[in-house]
Amino acid sequence: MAKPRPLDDLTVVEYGDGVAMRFCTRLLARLGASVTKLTRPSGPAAQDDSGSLRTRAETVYLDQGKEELRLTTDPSDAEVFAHVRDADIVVRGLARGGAEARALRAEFDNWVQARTVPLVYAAVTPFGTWGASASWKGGDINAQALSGWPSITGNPGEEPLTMNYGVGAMLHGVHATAAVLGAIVGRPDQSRSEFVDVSEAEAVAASIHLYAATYRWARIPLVRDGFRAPGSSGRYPHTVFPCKDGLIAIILRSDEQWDRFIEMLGRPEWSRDPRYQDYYAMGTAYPAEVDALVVPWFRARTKAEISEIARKYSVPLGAVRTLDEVLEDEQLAYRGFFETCTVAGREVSLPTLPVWWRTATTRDSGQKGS
Amino acid sequence: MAAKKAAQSGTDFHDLIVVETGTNLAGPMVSRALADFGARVLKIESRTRTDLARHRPPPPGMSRAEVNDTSHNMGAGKQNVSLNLKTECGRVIFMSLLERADIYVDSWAPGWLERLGMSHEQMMQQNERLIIVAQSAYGASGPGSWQRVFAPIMTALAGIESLVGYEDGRVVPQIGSAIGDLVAAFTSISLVLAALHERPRTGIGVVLDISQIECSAALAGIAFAEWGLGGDIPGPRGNTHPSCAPHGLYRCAGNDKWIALAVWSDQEWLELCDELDIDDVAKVRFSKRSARSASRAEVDAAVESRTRSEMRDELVRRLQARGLGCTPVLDCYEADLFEAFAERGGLWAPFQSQDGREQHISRLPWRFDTVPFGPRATAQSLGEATDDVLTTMLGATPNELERWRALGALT
Repeated sequence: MAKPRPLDDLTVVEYGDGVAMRFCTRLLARLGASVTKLTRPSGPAAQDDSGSLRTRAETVYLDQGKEELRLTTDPSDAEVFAHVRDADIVVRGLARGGAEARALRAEFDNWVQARTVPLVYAAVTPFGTWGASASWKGGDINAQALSGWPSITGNPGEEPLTMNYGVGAMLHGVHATAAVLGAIVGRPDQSRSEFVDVSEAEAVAASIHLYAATYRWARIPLVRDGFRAPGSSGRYPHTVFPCKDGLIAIILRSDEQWDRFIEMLGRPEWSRDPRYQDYYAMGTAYPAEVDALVVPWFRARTKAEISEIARKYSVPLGAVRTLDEVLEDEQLAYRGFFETCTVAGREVSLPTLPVWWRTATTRDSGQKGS
Repeated sequence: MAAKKAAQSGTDFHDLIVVETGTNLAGPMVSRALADFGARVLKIESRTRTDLARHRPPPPGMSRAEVNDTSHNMGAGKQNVSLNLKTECGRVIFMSLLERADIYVDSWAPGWLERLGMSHEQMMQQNERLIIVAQSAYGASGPGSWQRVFAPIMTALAGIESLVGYEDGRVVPQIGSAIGDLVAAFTSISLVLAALHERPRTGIGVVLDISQIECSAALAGIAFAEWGLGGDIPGPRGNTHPSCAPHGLYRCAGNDKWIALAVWSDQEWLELCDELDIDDVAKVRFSKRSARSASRAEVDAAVESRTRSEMRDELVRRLQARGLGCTPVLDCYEADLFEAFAERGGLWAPFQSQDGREQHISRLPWRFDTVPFGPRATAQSLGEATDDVLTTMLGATPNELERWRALGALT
């Protein structure tokens, strides 16, 4: 069956380095765009550990579906331009900030001047291409540090936590993809080129700011609180409970959900006490006291048992799963979410696009976005 | 050689009509972004079934409100239309709006439309150009499609939370943020824009059956690849990087003050040692990247023994001056007011809401040269635009509005 290719008329050139840039172009390739990956003969500066497991994993996941072109000289402005001259989109990435980030605008201007067709150029950098922080040195961990994210993740008194395994950078890549396509679709004059600037620090910070509205409304200090969201984000519970064989994430957002939760616990005596009917106070003033009443029920059951019971009572919760458990998920298998490729004799299962793309002509079965 | 013809979408966002029946963050954020681009967005709600974002309990001293800071952020720039889809009249009006719409965003659990006698297929038959965002926990069909989720459950089931925690293996999830909601929203926006790009060529719309859990799981791709290539099942690594040391957050003087520092090259290590006055034994012993990576804990201890007595911002300034990747770890309040963000447009825009309160509406971090983009207004109250929308879009007369109200369709 043919796969959805909504971007199959677009040509994209990826040039530079960084997980965010590579994830952005991976998404564009999966949606049908022709993606050329330009690499310098010396390789990105950060990757002199080319044989490491992490670097190989990045290559396997991020560079799928792209045509790689290795430049012959470095620096090689004329050679690079020859490859970007006719592209619809250039995704220009820097894994680390510095003076090079500020130079990207001039690169765009030069290329646009020499081209005959419009270009959407996306600068995907840690701190942006202009402004006070544009010349800062630093990469993924530094950009996340500016966002506020680590300050609310981790145990009180211990080191704040960032998103590891490139998760933060890939969130940046998702933002970059949306911005690139926003420019492709929505620039007012389609005959004009567009410069798009997406910084990781702002991408992660904006994500935090969006959800922080909940805390602002509830007047809850934004500090890290271990398993619990700060002040339970204003409504008990918003936390992770330990169970017999792991952890369970739970968040209840309405009176009805709390009622079903109490029903699931067997309507314990304490739940009739008015002290345990004030969701705000339970979440902000004495959540540990309520935890002590609730957790024994969880500790007596496994993740699988709790998930099954929660389904019966329509209580929104989910097990904190390891990747092997995710890979065994029957719903993800049903959706065909993972694909397997063979790398150096090993079978590697990788996520695909999170969508079934159904048009009028594929209404019955859908087409998996791959 | 003939010049290549540019691929063009040619869609004016101001001509687009978006209808949304989402809830909480993941769905409403999709139409919020489209409103920021200039689309006319109709948020359909009913007092018989309100958006869960409205259910935030009031803090002490405030009464329960229909519009809070979260619903202001998710509803910014949208017109709010009150329609009771449990009434036949409400459903007829709803389908009439969809007949004129370009995009429909739905993020309630699968099956709710069918229980009301409607379906996405019926909508496509009526309006073949309609792009439908059908966002759900796990997809619209299949053995797990019953699952109900909020953001932390999405990331828990997707495996993301098992990757967050300390290097000794303790999982401490990033539960205070809503990455699950937001990555689902921004992935969905990309998919909608791709569908909008394609539609002028095909002339038809599409149903985007999007799984929120899959959106999160896609962010674990590098971890899945590491495991598949022969590593252990991935777990928490703290702030470390397998190829770089020091790489982490280091405590400074003061209450909960930290810097983020990553030292990639041997030259950078020498610069760090000189600036922090790290002893010559450690400086020489860890002069090679491989040696630093192999003794990460000792390297971290050597660095933090020096940063502990330093003032955070002054230390950042000095290390940056030496060309090192070093930034302050800002708390959320500092980030909100961070000068470098403000200079580029900031994380939020101030608006006055109808109750007279100043609302900080989040700005999305996409900086364009010419594309008009940004929040335009705070959220409307429930049903505020009902009469206006039904009059301007459906040509409803005052008598019809009165009759529909009497039938309970506009509650």
